[in-house]
Amino acid sequence: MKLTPGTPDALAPGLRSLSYGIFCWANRNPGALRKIGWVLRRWPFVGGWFGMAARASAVKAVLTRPNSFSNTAHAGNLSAGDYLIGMDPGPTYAADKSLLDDRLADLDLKLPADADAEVKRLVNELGALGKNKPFDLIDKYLMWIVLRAMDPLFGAATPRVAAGVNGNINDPGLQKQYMMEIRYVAGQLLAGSTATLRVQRRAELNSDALKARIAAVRTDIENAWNVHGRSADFIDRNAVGLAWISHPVTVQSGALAVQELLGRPEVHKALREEARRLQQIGPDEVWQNKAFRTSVYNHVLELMRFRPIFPLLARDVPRDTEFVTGARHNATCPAGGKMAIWSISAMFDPDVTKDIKPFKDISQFCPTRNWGNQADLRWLMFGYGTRQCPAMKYAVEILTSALIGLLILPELKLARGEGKAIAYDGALMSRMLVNFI
Amino acid sequence: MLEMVRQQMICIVVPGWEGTTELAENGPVFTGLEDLLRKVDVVQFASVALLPARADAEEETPSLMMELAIEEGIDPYDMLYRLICHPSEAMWALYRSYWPDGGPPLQSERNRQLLDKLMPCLSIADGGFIGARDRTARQIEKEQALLQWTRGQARALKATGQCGDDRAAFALALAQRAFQNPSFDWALEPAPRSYWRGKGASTSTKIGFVVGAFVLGLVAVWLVGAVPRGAVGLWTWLFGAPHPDVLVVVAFISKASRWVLGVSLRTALVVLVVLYFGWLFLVALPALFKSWRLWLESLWRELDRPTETWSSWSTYWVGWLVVVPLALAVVAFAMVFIFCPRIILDAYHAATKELYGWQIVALVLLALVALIVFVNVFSKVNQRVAKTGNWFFHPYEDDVPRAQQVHASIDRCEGQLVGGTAHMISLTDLRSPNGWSAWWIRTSLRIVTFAGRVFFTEGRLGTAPGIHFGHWHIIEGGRRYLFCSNYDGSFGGYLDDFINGATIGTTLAWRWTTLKPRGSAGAGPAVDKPRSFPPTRFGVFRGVKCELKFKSYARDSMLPHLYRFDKCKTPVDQIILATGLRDALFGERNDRNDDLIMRAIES
Amino acid sequence: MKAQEAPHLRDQLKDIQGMLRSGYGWLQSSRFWLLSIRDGHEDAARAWLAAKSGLVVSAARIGKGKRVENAVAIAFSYAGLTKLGCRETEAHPFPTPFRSGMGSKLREQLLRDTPRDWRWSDVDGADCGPVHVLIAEWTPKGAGPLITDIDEKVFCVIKIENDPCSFHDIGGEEKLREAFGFRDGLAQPVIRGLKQDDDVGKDRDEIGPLYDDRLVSPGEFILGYRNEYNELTYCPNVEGWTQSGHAKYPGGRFALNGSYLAVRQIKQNVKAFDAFRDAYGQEVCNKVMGRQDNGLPLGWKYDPNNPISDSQADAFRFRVEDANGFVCPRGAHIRRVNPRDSLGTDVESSITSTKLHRLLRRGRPYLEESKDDTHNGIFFIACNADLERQFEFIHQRWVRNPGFGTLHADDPIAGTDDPTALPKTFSMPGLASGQEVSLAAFTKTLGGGYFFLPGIAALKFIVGLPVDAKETIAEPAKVAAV
Repeated sequence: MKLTPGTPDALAPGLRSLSYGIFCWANRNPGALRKIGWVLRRWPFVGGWFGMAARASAVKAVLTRPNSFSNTAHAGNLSAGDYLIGMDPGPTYAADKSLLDDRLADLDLKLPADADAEVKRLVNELGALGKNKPFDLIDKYLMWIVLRAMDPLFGAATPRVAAGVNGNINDPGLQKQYMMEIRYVAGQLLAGSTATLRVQRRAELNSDALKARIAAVRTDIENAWNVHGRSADFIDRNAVGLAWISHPVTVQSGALAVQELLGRPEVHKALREEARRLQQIGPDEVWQNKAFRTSVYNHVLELMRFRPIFPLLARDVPRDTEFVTGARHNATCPAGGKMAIWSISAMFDPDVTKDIKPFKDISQFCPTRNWGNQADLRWLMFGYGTRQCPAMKYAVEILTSALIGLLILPELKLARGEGKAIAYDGALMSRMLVNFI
Repeated sequence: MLEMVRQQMICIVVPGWEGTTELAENGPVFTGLEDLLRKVDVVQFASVALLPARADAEEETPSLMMELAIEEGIDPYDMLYRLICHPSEAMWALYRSYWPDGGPPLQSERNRQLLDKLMPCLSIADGGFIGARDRTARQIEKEQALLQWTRGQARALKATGQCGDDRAAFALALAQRAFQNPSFDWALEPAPRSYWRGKGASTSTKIGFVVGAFVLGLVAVWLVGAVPRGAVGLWTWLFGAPHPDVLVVVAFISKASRWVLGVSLRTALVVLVVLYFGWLFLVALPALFKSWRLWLESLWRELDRPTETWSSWSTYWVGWLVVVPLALAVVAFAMVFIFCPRIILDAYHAATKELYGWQIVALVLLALVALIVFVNVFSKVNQRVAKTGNWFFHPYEDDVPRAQQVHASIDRCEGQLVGGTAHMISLTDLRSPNGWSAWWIRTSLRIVTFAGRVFFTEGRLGTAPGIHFGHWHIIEGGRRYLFCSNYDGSFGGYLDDFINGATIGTTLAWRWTTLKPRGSAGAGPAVDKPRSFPPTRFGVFRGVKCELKFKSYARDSMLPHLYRFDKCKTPVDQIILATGLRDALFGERNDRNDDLIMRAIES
Repeated sequence: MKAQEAPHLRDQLKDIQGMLRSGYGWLQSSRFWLLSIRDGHEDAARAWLAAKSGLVVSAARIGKGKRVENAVAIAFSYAGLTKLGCRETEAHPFPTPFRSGMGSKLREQLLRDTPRDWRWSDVDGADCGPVHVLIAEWTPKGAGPLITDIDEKVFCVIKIENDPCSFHDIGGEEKLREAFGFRDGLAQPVIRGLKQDDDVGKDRDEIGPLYDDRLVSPGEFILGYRNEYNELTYCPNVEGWTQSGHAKYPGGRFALNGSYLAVRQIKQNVKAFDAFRDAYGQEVCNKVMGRQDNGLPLGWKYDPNNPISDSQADAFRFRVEDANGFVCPRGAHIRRVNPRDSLGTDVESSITSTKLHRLLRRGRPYLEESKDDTHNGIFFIACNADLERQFEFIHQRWVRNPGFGTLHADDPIAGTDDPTALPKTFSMPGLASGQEVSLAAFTKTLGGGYFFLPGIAALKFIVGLPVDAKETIAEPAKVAAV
């Protein structure tokens, strides 16, 4: 059942901040999660006691049994109302999914051209900043790229959605307001009811604002989607969901990927070298060279493997069942319980690639690794099986454009000025101050 | 925990109001605001008022004050952001006169500038009490709908005569109907309550929480010392003695840990002993001995007495001359016991070195007898003196000029709200030195807030009922003190409840204030003559017990509202009843729940 | 500020009007005159009132073993005091409720009277304008009126005539019954220090500690004395009073020994109540009122034919034995107007709190016979020292408050007569779920006002009598030894 909005704090004082603190720390420190994941893989029966799947085989098995391990675990976190991500399969799910697929199909036509165009514009803008002038990579760069690249989702209604029903569509501040709105709603997907009350209530406030915003421009959206005769609830549910899930998740993934890249100077350097070489060939070569794009694409995926946006996933257990942990005995899952899925651990499971030649240690950073028949595991941070994120390819495509842009800009580093370069807002990264060297 | 409560009650005081915006009650500004607050859903009460400038302020223009009472857990910034950035721009309409040039053309820029202006003027309550409004307005509205629906169904069911006089069958029939009604699916889960009102409501949980936290703390401190000690021991056993510097550091840590443990345990012991004696003298002895109870009652009465009589005067001075030094001595003894117990032990040994055990026991008994004799003699003498004292020390009364006066604007506001939740805004000045007063007020208010959050969870503060949100703010850099309250009932009845039901808390919260002359703002009243808060005794007695002075002081400090928002006009008792009905109707079918349903459907 | 010594009540009885000490139960006829002084006739009005003030009886003349043959009380509305030239001082003005008057629009809101359809009030009136003076007279049964010579050129007069059927022989004694047939005037507060020499010993013996429930400090009803907060009740002052030498008590202000009267003329729809009685029976009527018609408590367990004193009939509480209202419904009239021990967190705190909201009722039934309208009613008079804390609180928070406790209706008897609010429902809790009945509007308020009942010296001051006119005052009313 969905949580009632505005529920007061029912936890004893101290418990919530402690548990949320641990949760946020774990999300910000994927290295620590990987180490725990190693323990859980090594002795899978331990995970079995606590309802945790850690081995790649176990994770895959759980994620391909939607009837036993239900997506409704997310439903409680959907402060903006129902959406696909928290639904069980059924007629509503099927109808919504069909609409979503239609919307995403529009992206095929525009990507990566739209993303590239916005990146080029921002490269010009940021390029003029000069050295040692810190700027927020999220607010000044990633957010706008993703917004423009995702334009086709709402088609002609996009400016209205972003500016609100009465707003001036050329007011960038209103667009920023829209993006903050959906960011806070999305933040709730991760934390759910473990979050501090402030985070939960902020998500609810913004959900309320987002729903009002969408309801006010419903007709524009109907026209843009060319969907008529459907209930207002159908339009609103899908428009609200599409708004908050797509954009912030992509931005956040991008920020995580850049954070990881900046922590790997040699990888960063090699990529920059390649970009510089191509630029010497011609100004547009970086954009047109397929091999380079593929390489950057692989880098993005590999960076995201080390810093996945959803390192852990949850599933509800609607009925008594058991799952194969990899230990001698299967683990039982009592009905009404929850299941924790250690995607981050599965993506580093050495069993997956041990037979693939040439062998590359899976714990090492290697964008060009041959994944053999396990290539789908690279995408585990986007879910798996029947409930994998349908927009994952577009997200990585957009981030590839964004990363190419960063490679042709002067070299970046985290800004060492006042305060920390990276500011977190719970589990999310809210600011990433960088400057050109 | 307290901040979460304090954040629910916000005041935004923006100085320099020039008054060029038309603020008619039914004008576009307030109808827009009403619309906004209804849509935003999380605001339970709001009001707008003009605060007159201080007489010594540089600017003579009043401040525009907006009071918000919102749901639990919302950060004030998020709330303000939501209100300001709403597409209706209702907040901008209210504050636009602060931008004489009309403000920036871009909406987002206007929003930003307004947010930047209001955030520094925003203060969360320095202390406050929330009655039954830990529930959201939405929950209250839904539960009221359930209550009305159930009453209607009960009426219909009675008319059919199906259930006769069988209470269980009647309750079951009602519960079945409620279950079958899809519009009440939200009621299937138990009414959400905050921890201290839900799971942590019982006394045992509260004691358990404190004891648990204390024990965990002790264990942590012990581990800090024990782990390095153990590690050094193990190291020495395996490889021989480590570097001397390591030993010094470990010894220091270990000693510090032991010291903290000792101090903590002795502090706990002192607290227990104080609690025990408190219980003994204030609860157990009065229950056992009528004379003790009467003595305590008369002591309380004399300390609280609003007029000066010989016995109240003498009680006060005996308090200063005997009780205060005694209390200080006890505190000093406790401190010595906590931090340097050795001194006490040594002194005891030195004093009893030459004595046998029976002699010590005899001495203690003798001291007790002497004390009882002394107290009795003192009591007799006191009675005599009191009689004689009252003979020549005639009771007299301070004159309270202009008592029972209410400004027309205040009366008008009260008249408007008589059918809903009543409201008051009181503005007083801090007594000088301001910093000292502000510190005391804050400390007192934190205690009141804590008590309200953890102990007074049944909608009553002390025994004062009907408070939805009562909050205090120290504003203008510690110069003035703002009190806003949303409550059921009339102003006078409300203060009566405070005078009788929450004397100490109310006196504590107000005694550091005074009323300085000030002009009027808008149609509101001015203060012509300075006024002091009624005199208090030992900080917590008398004060509000002086009804005339206190009410007159409170009345004269009041300001009218220009606008008032009340999301759901439901009295506290009604809110509690509806929640009870929800849990009973959708809960287990037992006698208690059945009876609760029966009581709820009777009006 | 100069400290002021408190007067002793027993030294001041000669200055206190008698109605504060007694309801004159032995004087079974009563009439009330509402006078508006016509413009330009203030002096004549003062002279006439000065002559009548001799009929006013002081509290010193009644008490144990002392009864008067007839009595008069005179009170003034704020408009009346102003009309007669009294100007309140800057430092001690009259309380706001009294100054604004019960008839004001604001009081209409605060007393939840909306909508009003009043004939008269202390602020305005259909025929005469604001009522300035209230004169009450009590005479033996069947006696003619004491006041007979009102000059209509000086005053515009509304007369409230006696209901000759209001006293009935019950157990050999004439007892008051209001028009619906219920005993009235049972639950009265006892003023501490004033009734001491009456029946206090007997009452206390009969009912024990419950007697303390009704014992209220004098300052709750008489201005200038200790009230339930142990404080002297606020006394307003008027200009010229202090210099006039009228003050009997040194430093005493104008209002000392006075009281405020909240007055309402309440029409009783006897037909509607009888129809209700026919439909539901007397027992339900008793539940609505909260008392048996013979005055016994609803939960009386003993032989109803065995006569008991009024004091015993009023010795009960609700909290412990009847918290849910199975015996006396929580919304019953008497439980609303005097919740006794039922509203606080425990018995003690509830009684303490209720004592802050008590009224000394001195009203009487009346009968109006005219061509257009013949009806019974109650001319309700409540003496109190703080209108806001007593009468207005009771009316606004208890009687007329639809959300009283957790109820959903106002008073079944004295509630609103607004036709849009009808029919009202009244619930009688029961072990299963009780019973609900529909109510008509049984009463309608025809007018009302706040009056100030001055001390006798202040009365002389108002009407312009000299300080030494004391002797002439006491004469007209004869003292009868009983």
